[in-house]
Parts: sequence; C-alpha cells; structure tokens
Amino acid sequence: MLDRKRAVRTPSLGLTIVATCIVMATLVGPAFAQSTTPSGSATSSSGAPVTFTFADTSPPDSLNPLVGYLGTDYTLWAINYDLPINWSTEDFSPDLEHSLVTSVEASPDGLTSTYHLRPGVLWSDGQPFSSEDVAWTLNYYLDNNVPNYSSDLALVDKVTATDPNTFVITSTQPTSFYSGASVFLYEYILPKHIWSKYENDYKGARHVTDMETLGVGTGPFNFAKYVKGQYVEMDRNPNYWGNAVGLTPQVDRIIYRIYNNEDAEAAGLTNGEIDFAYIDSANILNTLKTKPGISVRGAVIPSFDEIGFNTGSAYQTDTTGGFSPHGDGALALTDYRVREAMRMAIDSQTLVDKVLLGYGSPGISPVQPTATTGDWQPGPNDPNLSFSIANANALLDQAGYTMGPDNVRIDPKSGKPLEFRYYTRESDETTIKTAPYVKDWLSQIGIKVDVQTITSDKLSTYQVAGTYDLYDWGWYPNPDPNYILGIFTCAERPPDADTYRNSDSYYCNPAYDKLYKQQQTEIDPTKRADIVHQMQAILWKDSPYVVKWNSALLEAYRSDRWTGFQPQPAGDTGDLLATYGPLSFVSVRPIAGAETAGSSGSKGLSAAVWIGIAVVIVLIVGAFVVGRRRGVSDEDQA
Amino acid sequence: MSTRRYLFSKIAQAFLTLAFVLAFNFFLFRGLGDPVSLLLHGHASLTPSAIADLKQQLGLDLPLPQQFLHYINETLHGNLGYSYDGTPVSTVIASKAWPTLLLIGLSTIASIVIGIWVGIKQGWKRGTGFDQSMLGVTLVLYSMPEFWFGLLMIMLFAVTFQIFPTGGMTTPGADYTGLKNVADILNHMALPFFVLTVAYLAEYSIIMRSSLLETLGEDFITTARSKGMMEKRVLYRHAVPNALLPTMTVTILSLGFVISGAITIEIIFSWPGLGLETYNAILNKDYSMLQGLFLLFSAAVIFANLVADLLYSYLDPRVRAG
Repeated sequence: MLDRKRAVRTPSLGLTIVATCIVMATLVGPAFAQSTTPSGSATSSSGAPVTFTFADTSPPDSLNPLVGYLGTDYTLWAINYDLPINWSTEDFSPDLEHSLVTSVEASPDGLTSTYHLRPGVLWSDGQPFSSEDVAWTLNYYLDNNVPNYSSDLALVDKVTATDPNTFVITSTQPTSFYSGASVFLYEYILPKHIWSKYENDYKGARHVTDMETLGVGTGPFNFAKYVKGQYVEMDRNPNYWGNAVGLTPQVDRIIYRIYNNEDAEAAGLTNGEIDFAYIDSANILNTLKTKPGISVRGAVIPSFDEIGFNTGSAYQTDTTGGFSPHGDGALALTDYRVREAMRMAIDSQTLVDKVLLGYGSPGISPVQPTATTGDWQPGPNDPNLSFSIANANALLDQAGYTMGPDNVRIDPKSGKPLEFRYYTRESDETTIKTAPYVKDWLSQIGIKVDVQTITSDKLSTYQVAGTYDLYDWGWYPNPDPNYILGIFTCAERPPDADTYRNSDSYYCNPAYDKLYKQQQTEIDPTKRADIVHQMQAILWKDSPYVVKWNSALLEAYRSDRWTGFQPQPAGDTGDLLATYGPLSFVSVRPIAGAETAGSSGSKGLSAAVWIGIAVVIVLIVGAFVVGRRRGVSDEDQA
Repeated sequence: MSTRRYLFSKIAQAFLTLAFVLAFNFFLFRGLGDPVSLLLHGHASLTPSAIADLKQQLGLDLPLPQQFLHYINETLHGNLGYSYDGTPVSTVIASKAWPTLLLIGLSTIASIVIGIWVGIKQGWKRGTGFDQSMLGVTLVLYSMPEFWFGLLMIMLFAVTFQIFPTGGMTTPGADYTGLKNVADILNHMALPFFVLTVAYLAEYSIIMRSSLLETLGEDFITTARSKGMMEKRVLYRHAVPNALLPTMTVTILSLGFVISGAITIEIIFSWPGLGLETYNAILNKDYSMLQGLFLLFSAAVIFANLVADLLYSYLDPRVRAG
C-alpha cells in the first residue's frame, strides 16, 4: 500500500510534467517567442501602421500647453500644434516656407507687425484654421498671464485678426521681437472652436486632459492616446497643411515611449522595441555605440550647466522688484573678483572630458552658441579666458585676500576664511561628479568648499531663502537670448525668503538692467546683437555664473532601420529629431525592407502558448490535490 | 478576555491607528513647507491672483485648524485632492491599483505557495542535499538586489533571447482586444512576475522551514509517531497545520503590502502600478498624490494587521486568552 501510494502520487506528477512539456513543445514550436502584429490601419506591407517610436525616461508633465513645462512637453506640442513661425532646421532662422505664417511686415516705429497666414489650412478635425485662432490664442495667453508664454508676450498690447488670413500684433513699446526677423513667438496656436468654451474659465482650461480637446491641432501628428507613465500615441493628421508644401509625413504614427530607467531603455533599443532613444548617461551611450545597427550622437542644443554663486542676497540694497535682503550667503561672494578667480580656477575642458566623456563643449556664456542672435566669446587676448590657477591666485592676492592658516584665504572685510557651502543635486549625476574636481581646484587658490548633495527641491528652497553660497544646476533656454538674459535682472531676484523668482544668483546691476531694456526695444537686429554682446561681457566679468559646459543631447537610434532625419542645426552635431519643431518627424522614414519597432509588433508568447501554460498549471495543481487526497484517504483506510 | 471584547479592542486599535495616520499625513506634508511654494518649484512664476486661486482650491487660505477639519471632511468623502496635472488623486489611484494588484498580488501569492511548499520539504528533509541547496538558492535570490536581478532578466530574456518585452504593461499603439490583449499583458508581466516570485521565496520558505522544525520537536508529534502514525500523516495532519501559524502572520502582513507595489521592480520594468506612481509623485513633488498614496498604503497595512490578529486568535485561542 505504501509503495502504491508513493507510486501514485510521485510518478503522476512527474508524468504530468513530462506530458506538459510535450504539450508545451507542440504548442510553442514555431509559436515560441513569436511576434504578434498589432492591429491598426493597414498601410504597410505587414498590415500594421508605419510607426516611429522614440523614447526617453522623462514622462510628460502635461500634454496641456497651459500646464506642462518640461522639454518633453514642448517636443510633443511641437508635433501636435504649430507655432506661428517655425525655426529652420538649418540654423534656427525663421522658416516661412514651412510655417503657418508666410510673411511679416513690421512698421518702422516697431509698434505694429502684420502677419500673413497660409490660406486653406485646416485643423485636424476638418474645421478651417484662420487668423481668429491665432488672435484668440495669443490674447488668451496674454490675458491669463500663462506662465509658459508671459515672457514672450511681455511687450504685446493686443493681437487683432484683420481678415481670415491676417493678424496684427500691436506692442506697448517699440521692439524687434515681433517683426519676424527672428522666431520669437514660442506660442502654440490652439483651435478657438475647441478652447473658446474656456474663455472665462482659465482654471478649467488648465484641467483639460482629454484627447478630444488636446488632440486637435494643425501639426503633422495629433495626440490620440496617453497611457500615463507608459506612452503617448500620435496619429497622422489627415488634414495636414504641410502636404501642400512638400512636407508629407512618411509614417502613420509616432509613439513616445516612456521608460523609467536607462538600462531598460537601452535594452529596448537593442532588441528593436524602440527606434530612437534619448539617453542621459554617456557610459550607456558609449556602450550602445558598439552595437550593430545603432548609431549615436551628442547633439548640440541650446542648454548649459553652471556653478552659480549667491552674489549677495543678504547684503544688497537695491529694492527693485520689492527686494529686501534675506539669507546668509558669504560676504566675500559679493566681490566679483572672488567669483572671477573661481571662474579662472575651473577648467571646463577637463570637466567636459572627464564628466561628460567628451560629449558637450566648454561653456563661456549663458547665451548659447546656437542662439538666434548675440552669440559671444571673450576676445582671444582676454587674460581671464584660460584656466589658470596662477592667475586666479594672483587676482586674489591683488584683491587683498591673504592666505590664512590651513591654506585658506581670509576675507579682509569680514575677517572670515573663504569657506563656502557648495550644493550638488542628487538627481543629476554630473553635478556630483563635477564636485571633486572643483573642490580640488578651489583648494589650490585658498578656497575651501563644503560639498553637500541635496534634492533639486531643497536647493530651490535654499535659493529662494538665500541660504547657499555655490550650487550646480543648468538651464535650457529659448533660442532667442531675451529670456536667459532676463534672469540676471534685478527684478528677477526672489524679493523675500518665500517668493520664487527666476534669478538663482541674486545678480543685480542697474547698468546691466538698462542694457536689457534697450535690447528689448532695439529694432535694428545688428544693434540689438551689439547690446546683447555688451551684456554678456558684463556677465563674464562679474561672473554670477561659471558656465561649466554647453550641454549635449545624447541620442542613439537604429540607423539600420531609419533615415531621413533633419538635424537642427544642420550638420553632425545637430539634434536629430529637431525638437524645436516637427520637421524631422515629418521626414523620418524607414529604410526600405527594414524591420521597425512598429512593424515587428509585440514581443512575447502567443495566446495559444499562454493557454497551454494555464492548462499545465491547472493540471499540476489538480494532480497535487488529487494525489494528496488519495494519500490521506488511503491512510484513513489503513 | 471574551471573544467579543477581544474583537472590539482589535478593531478599535485599528481605527485609532488609522486616525493617527490620517492626522500625521496632514502635518507631515505641511511640515515640508508651504504646499503652494512646493508645487511652484521648477515652474515659472505665477501671478499673485493665480497663487491665491490655487491656495483657495487646496483649502490653504483657511487657518490651520480649519484646514485640518476641511482635510478630514474631504478625505472621509473620498476626495483626496488633485494631482499636479489636474487629475483627481482618487482617479489615478483607482487606475493604477489593478496593475499593482495583478502583478504584485499574483507574484506574492506564487511566492507564498511555492515558498511554503519548499519550506515544508526542507524542514521535513532537514540536512539533506535538497534542504541545503534550496536554502542556498533561496537566500542568494533573496539577497540579490531586485533591480540588478531584474536587469539581468531583461538582458537575458528581452535582449539575448528576445522572448519577452523590456517593460511596460501593453505594447504601445497595438490596441489589442480579447485573448490577444490578455496574452500581451501576460508577456509584459512575465519577467517582473518571475523576478518578484523567486526573489521572495526565501521569505516564506525559511520561516516555514524553521517553524516546521520547531513543531517536529513538540511532544504531540512524538505522541503521534509513537501511536504508529505514518510519517506523511504526521507531517500533513499534525506538524504542518501547527507550523503554519507564524508563516500565516507573515503571509497576511505581506498581502497588506501588496497594494503599495514593488517600487524598484515597477521602475525597472516600467510597470504602471502604484509603486511607479509613488516614484513619479516623489520626482514630480506631487504632494497631494503622495498624501493619498500614503493613506492608502497605511490603511492596507492596518487592515492586514487586523485580519492577522483576528485570524490568529481564531486559529490559536491562546492568543485571545493572553
């Protein structure tokens, strides 16, 4: 009996498993790891829509253009909506050939600009697009002081639609901003017939999340679905105006895939789940570079990282913007010579090489080399241009900062040693990797720093409160320099310890502020560029920032599958997806015969295999339960 | 202590703890600073009127005691506030709960069942090769960092063999329905399910093993054997039911943590559950969302504790008496 009981239970389980394996093998056979092709509009040879999938680890903050603020949001809006004038992929200049606006006439007094629109444009829902849409949108942004757009529209008095294809911008002061000479209106145009119900309900408009509202645009692809934290699906606009001017999209669908870690994202690119990946880690990018069929690039974008200083939140007396002194920054940092010496003692080239692994370039000015106007470099004979510990020491000696005990200099005004708090951010590994280099260089000029890594949130709180000395952060400014230059004006300083403003250096210089206003109202582009140059020369000398580097956007893509990218700006270092506009998404196309993320469908086992697995599990559990009952029953009989 | 009194005291304790968590949540997030300032960090400046609107919307224009009453009232009515993008917190939680319950729930159950089975076999065959090898294997898997183990599985099954996808819950843009949709979800779930199941086997097998070993040394086991009872019967009728008691406590408490997800695994595999939502809420400084999530997680653990207490007292009356 005992043997039988054993024989019944154990072999039956074993047999079940063997039988299972046979069933599995039969079922799995050719179906194992098969790819099932997604359903959808049949436009490719496989029957699936031609889909271009790009990915990043940054989920959109919001697809609502009144709410979102991240780079991801802007990238997606640029595909769904249109700006009045697009930036050229060649050089960020106005691309009137590929824009809703075809021409602009500015009055000589710089107060009125007349924009002519492309006729016959339709919204994606088939409704006609007109100047009423543009005027309504810009006035809505203006009236509600929408944060994303308030800086651009600061000098606008009103926008008027004069006929269906013409609108006029009247400004409060003479300015070249709206003349069309450069792309200044970074404002996405919304369909009035959809959004006008929120005319007097801005709060309600900010809560809009449905695709029926957000998915109506004039862009080449429109929002169709957003699975939060997973992906954004954008389908081809059947009424896209670009078809008439040679901008015919080459794919049916764009998918923005969201990963939560870069290793998985890199794996997705390698196995073909995605076609294009934005990567933060230079190490991962270098690994991907070695994979067959994958190409990488460090794209130059208008973005930079800086080591910023608290230039005097606790000591300044200029009350512009309602400012009152607050915080506890070091007194020595109010002396531009101390900041200038630190700038001279920080070697940007080494930081680019060691921290960015060569991606990016040494930084000079907050106005980026790719800015639409005002790119500036100090003269080649500028004695302070080069990294020089000796020159930095000489400058501090000359300014009276004598060396004290432990090789730390003493501030002659306060009598305190030059010891500063220096904050890096835990969410940005490059800030943490930068710190040891900076700490070492500064120690060589008699400055001691206490490096602490904190959250961006905490640092932001410290900046508003003025309770910091040095920090490491960065900006991603507009191509036009107006915005980034504005953060150094006196009015942008946090006026008290609780109120946020854009300045994170507390830099305040009335001479600089005067130039800032002048460049806003200078109509002549050449003269404006001159003023912008003067402002940068002041910033270079006064050094509220040490611009560590001009950042690079790290991109990896399946070059064995896709072609047709339009780098912006043109060349080997442009951003391949031209995220300031939709044009690269329009022209990107699969290489003939190549498999793509969309056409290869989903990875995994087929439904039949899963049914087989379920059957096997049921059989195993059933056999176990039956065996146990038999065993107990036999025992009871015994 | 009578059964009724015992039940009442346990339920009262649970409610008191929940009330404490509710109050603690309120003060915790206000202790971090002005919620409006926290919401505004990283955003461009808002106009004073917009800030006033936001304060009114969040009930922050009221004195603190009134804010507290407002918060309690709204929470009790199921209104947990709005996420930073305008979506009600309760809506987000409802949509993210089922992926978490599916993945973490199923893998926890699988871990429990397999872990207990392995623990029984180990305890019964103490010192054998099976016992020693399973002890080693389960401990190694348990000690292995989940993110690392998860990445290894991605490299192996998603990149090298290309059997399963790297992450997510469904294939973007596929719009499957019916069986295909089920298979698609299972394909995406396979790797995280496997990682979670094997990683937590040891949690149950080791407790079950040691509990069984302790039970096997009890007098009633010796008595059963001396009566000539067959060994398997001794094991399954006498030893295992008694040894299951401590394992049951761990099991029920583990089930209480199911709803909070497995943050690391949900991040690695981009699984859209409450763990990933917690991570994103921390990154986005979405304090309304975090407040709602913490309340839910705490409530789940408190409830699981209550169930464990009640069940334990039912299975082992000595607990009630004590």
